[in-house]
Amino acid sequence: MENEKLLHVGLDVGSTTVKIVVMNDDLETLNTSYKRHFSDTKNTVCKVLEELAENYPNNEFTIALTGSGAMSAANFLDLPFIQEVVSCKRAVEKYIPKTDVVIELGGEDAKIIYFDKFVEQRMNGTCAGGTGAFLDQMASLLHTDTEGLNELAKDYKTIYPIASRCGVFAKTDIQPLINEGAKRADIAVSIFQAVVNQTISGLACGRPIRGNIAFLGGPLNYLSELRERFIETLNLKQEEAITPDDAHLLVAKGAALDSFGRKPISVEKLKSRISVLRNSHDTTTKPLPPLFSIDAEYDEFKKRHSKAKVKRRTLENFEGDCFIGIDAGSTTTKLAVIDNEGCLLHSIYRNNEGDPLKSVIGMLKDLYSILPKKAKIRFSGVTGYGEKLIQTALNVDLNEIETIAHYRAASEFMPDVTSIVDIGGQDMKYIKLKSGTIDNIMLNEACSSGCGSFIETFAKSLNLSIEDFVNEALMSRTPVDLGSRCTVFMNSKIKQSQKEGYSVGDISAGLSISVIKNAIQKVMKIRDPENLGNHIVVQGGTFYNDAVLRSFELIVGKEVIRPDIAGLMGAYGIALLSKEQYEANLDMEYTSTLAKLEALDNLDIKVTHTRCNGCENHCGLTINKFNDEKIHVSGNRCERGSGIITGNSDLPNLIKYKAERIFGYEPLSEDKATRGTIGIPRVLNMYEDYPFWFTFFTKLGFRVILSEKSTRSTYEKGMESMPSESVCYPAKLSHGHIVSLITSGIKTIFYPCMAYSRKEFESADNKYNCPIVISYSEVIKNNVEQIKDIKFINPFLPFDSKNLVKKVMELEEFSEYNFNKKELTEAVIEAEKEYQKCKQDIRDEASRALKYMEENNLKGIVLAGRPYHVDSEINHGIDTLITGLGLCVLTEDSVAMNTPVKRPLRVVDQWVFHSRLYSAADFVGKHDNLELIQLNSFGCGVDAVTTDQVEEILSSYDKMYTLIKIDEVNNLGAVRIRIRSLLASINKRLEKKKNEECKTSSSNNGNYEIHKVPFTKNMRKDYTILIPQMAPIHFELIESAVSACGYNVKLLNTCTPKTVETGLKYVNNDACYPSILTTGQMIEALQSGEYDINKTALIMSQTGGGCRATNYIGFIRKALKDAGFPRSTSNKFQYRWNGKK
Amino acid sequence: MQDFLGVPVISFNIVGMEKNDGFKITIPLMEKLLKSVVYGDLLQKLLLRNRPYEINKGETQKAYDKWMQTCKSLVRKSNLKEFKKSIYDMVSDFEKIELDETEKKPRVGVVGEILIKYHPFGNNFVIDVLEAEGAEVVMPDFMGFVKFMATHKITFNTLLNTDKTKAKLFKLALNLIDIFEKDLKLALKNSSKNYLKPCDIWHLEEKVKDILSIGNQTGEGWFLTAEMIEYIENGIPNIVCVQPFACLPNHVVGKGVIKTIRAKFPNANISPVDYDPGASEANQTNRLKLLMTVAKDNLQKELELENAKSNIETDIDNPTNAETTQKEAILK
Repeated sequence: MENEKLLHVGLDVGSTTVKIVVMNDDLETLNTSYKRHFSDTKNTVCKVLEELAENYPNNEFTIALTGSGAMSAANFLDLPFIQEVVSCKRAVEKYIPKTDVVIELGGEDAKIIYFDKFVEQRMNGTCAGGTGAFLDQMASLLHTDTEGLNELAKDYKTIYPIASRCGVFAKTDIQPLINEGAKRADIAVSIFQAVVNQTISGLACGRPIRGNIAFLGGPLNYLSELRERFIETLNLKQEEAITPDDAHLLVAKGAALDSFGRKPISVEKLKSRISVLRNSHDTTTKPLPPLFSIDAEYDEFKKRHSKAKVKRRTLENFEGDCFIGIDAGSTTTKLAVIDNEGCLLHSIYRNNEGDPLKSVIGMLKDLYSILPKKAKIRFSGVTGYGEKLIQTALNVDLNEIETIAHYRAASEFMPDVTSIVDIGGQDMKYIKLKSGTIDNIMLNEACSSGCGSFIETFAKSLNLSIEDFVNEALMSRTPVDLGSRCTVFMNSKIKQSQKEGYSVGDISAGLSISVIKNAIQKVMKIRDPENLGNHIVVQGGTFYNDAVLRSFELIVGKEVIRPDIAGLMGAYGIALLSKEQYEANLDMEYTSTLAKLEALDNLDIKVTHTRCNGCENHCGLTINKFNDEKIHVSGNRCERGSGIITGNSDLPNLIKYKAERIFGYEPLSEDKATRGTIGIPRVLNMYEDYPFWFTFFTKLGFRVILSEKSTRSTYEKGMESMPSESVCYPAKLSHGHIVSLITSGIKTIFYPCMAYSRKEFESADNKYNCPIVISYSEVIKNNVEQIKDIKFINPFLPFDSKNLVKKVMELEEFSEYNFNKKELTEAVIEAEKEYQKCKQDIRDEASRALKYMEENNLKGIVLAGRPYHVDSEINHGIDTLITGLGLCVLTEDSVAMNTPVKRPLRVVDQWVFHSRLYSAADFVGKHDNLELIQLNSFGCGVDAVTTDQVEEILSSYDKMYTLIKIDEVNNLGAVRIRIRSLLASINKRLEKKKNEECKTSSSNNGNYEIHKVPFTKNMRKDYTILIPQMAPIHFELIESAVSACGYNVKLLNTCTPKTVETGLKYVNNDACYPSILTTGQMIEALQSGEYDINKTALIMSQTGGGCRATNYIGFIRKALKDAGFPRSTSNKFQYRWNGKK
Repeated sequence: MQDFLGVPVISFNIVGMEKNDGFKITIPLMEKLLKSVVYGDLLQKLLLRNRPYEINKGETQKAYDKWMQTCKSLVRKSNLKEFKKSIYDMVSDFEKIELDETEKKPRVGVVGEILIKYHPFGNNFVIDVLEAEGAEVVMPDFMGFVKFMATHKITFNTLLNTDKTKAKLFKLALNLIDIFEKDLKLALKNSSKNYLKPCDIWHLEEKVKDILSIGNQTGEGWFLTAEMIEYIENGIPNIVCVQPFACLPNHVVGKGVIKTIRAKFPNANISPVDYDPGASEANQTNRLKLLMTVAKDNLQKELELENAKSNIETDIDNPTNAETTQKEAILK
């Protein structure tokens, strides 16, 4: 032994734990330790190292740090940092050399390492971050911890499909499972399966995971059932699954190994470095201004908010009429009892423990036990997610959609309320009121889900009560900026700020600010706080958090009312509505039908789960049977599943018609197929072009086989080969369609790239397809392994008959078929005819539907999306849900040709499928019996452009715009609320219109075309043209070039976090980062006051290509429109919230 | 109340969208713009190639600053002769900067969405991060993108038989660009510093066809894939592919082709990194660090392999791993 004093240390700083391994020169492990750091990485690292120094006072060390949390610490300690995938690789090569693939899940990142000739190391993309945190969150939904989750998963029976795109989406799928009473064991195992699917689809990207697989990292180490899911999904034999005993220390060991040969440091030196670290403050992330700058501010705030109190009376000895309101929310249930003056007598707020009905029964029993004899329950009402179930089970008199209940309650606190913002645990709502009626309702999309409960579970994970957590926030001097995209992104920002040494209070305050920013930018889409009006009520459980309340007031720059029963407003509102209903009925002898104590005791509920076979949706049904023979079915989209076949199921449904029409072709029999069989996948542009290609190839003597109907399992078949987790679901599905064709024995697949569609609207700017529709077949070609075994034909092809014939003759792909020009020409003509006929059939069907609506005085909804949105796996059966509510369904293309769109539009109108949206919106605007709901696939960047434009068209006709963002998530609960809200608003609008007709005719006549301000020759003289920065080296020169040609130009050089904030504020947040940066720069410059607005112009490049880049100019024009608010407010606003020092 | 509705927005494009009387793309403007791009590309190359290896710290930046001023005035006014001369002068001026290349740095190429790859704020200062990690960064030429854009109409004419006249016009434009770049190519060729040459767009088109069709034109299109291949073939196997979160074309031409590129070029070390307002910098840095570690390991192996080749006694079949040799030496 050369140097007995020399020890080798590996320190692994993960997102939740710190691990240390000490080795001697013989590679023997002398000491290990494993500590949770509870967000305080800096001090935990110091402590661990101090212990090292104490334990080995006479030694020297080589030390290497590793792990996502170590980067900043390594800097201050001046010790080497080893990327964790690398240290993992070192350790695996040393200790488990037979490994072929490593799967490592950490608290923050997931990694896969392939050991082959060239070691390939992969890490998850941004969306799939936070596995550990995700499991913590899910466990807390089930009121257990991750170990508990593991125990639960052991005796599962069913695995439910749960979205695997990201943690937020998964949670959106899990919540309704809990509400519908699915078994905890089944939910637990489904959560694990979601993690497995996410890891495989997000990281494997087409490279198969085969051979000996080592499972590493915390979750995989101690969660046997999670491992089991991987083993089963990957089809591993037991001996192929390796789980080393000290899996959690392996990365630290790798770092220790890596430290060999590095410069040793003495104990003294180590100690002095530790003290450097202890006193350090990393400032990579800049702090925000504090919530309260002086104590007096806080006192004033406290005092002001203590005034918004509900009138109360005690229940004890109460005599007379009372009314009960129940709000069965997604995670909590609330109950309110009021008297005939609206005074609150009693309230109960309870976590529903995953079973809303049981929870309500418990609450009622509690209430009955204290309800005075002389209190008479006159009427009862229920609202919220579980309203139907509870109404059926407990004979509640009234049910009402929650938005209406909330409005009723809010108006009790502020009669002329203009805006209600509700942030609950899972959902956010924004209700805008105009002269006493609901003008607009915005509900959060999946991405904003769970913001409220995220704060709570995060506090819990730190072992802090929510009160303490909030108090820390109020004291924080330096809140940290955690972004606003979603909780997954926030979570990874939290990890970063922890590493940088931000305190719990800074994080708590930062979270409050982020949740509010998310609400304002993404849910409410408020650009100008003035639009909120001056009477704002905020409510929902999350607003009990003073830090959240304060953040809201600061960001909108207005004082708001937060009732002292903020979390009870739904229940209070429905109680008030019950009271009013009772009074309106004029039957003063009426007493509530609400189940009495005896009935509650005798209530017997049998819950069964089944699949509906009424249509291809195959909804998973939860059936509650009660002892009084009543049945409640949930999970179904349409009425068919509930066993009540109403006349409504035959209502015109163009989605259904179209899906059948487009694909309803009978292929040639094998004996007639002279040229053999060709497979066509049911994907993206095929929902438009299938009639064409089917006819084309059939004419040429092919047997054309279409891939299976899309289902969840189609998606799973293709999971291994998806290179990008952020692409849209329709694109992801195409992998499975190709695989299913190949496994069914198809040897030739035709899936062309289509840059253009046929131009349908003369005045539209262009006729592109979207980038994904154009060339997703290239992704298939480059990523689906099995494609090598077959002939895959995917050239770029034109549509027009002459050129198509020419191309097919030229292309090598088709040469083996020896087509002649004549037969091709005939086939193309025939194909085009069939394509046009199909379109005409759809339009004719729509005309019939419109006529039917007219004759039967029905209302209809144009479910507007892309052609592929007719697929029931993509739209999740929203169409049947709508017909189930008694409305007819039309598609965008079926009505698009009926009306010309007023152009120019603000946006560049260059995609054919989207031009149809604008036309459809215009058509809807002109028809009182029609509404429009836009379907938007998550990740569709193009829709960042179209959604705003469709909204503008609709609102120019005074119509409410409803956007439903869909993905693999199958949760239609929120969709139902949206559609019902839309219905409520239609009725209000019609009522209003009736009243107004007597006075004046409607002033909203669809003025949505824009008048572009031209840059004239005269302006050239004295206008300053602002150029947004793109490439500093080149643009500095370009500025000179342009100015030499006689223009006053100014290159915008500053770009700061404030620029991003400005961009986020004025650009649709689904738009890409470059458009946010570019627009942010311009608006920031205009608002700076440095330029004379009357003498300033902007310049932006337009590529003219089929990407969003061509549309930046549209984003800018919208921002110019939205940013025109009074100077003073904007400045104040920015000073406080964007002004980073 | 001051609104911005009266602020004109000028569209800068060469395909005839949104015309404005007051702003015209004239021949003098085009000429100046092309010069700017050529200068910009050259300055970028000179800066990035010399800075990491310079012996006298700050020398490259100084030369860059000086030439930036010169170029700016030459962009404003210069004849073709002056323009040509300045290019040779610039290259030879930077030739004087002394470099210490005893310790080889891995070369890392950046590709991706155009704004994110060039805008330092957009990519969280990726050049600085990589250089601090010990890389020599290579940025793509802006002119490459211009050339790619110019091929659009030509390609669609070939693939889809669209408008022929426009195709011809753009062929002319490409020839014109060649004229502007001619001296740049020559000057770089004469340099001893092994700069990456401006790309030959037709050559790249050929190269990329094995992987995807040149019909992929949205966003950076096939050019993004081609840039990766160009890098790898020029001894730059380490590539950061930067994109805005959920960038549409990138699903196809960036992330979508990485598997095929890796299969074709097993030494390719490609890391896709997403940029977004809410994305954590630590996450991005962590991925860059991984890329850099792999890059350094590979470079080390490569150098050893070269040594082994020149040294016949070494067993070529068993190329030893850099870190294991180092460690074994210590363990003994």
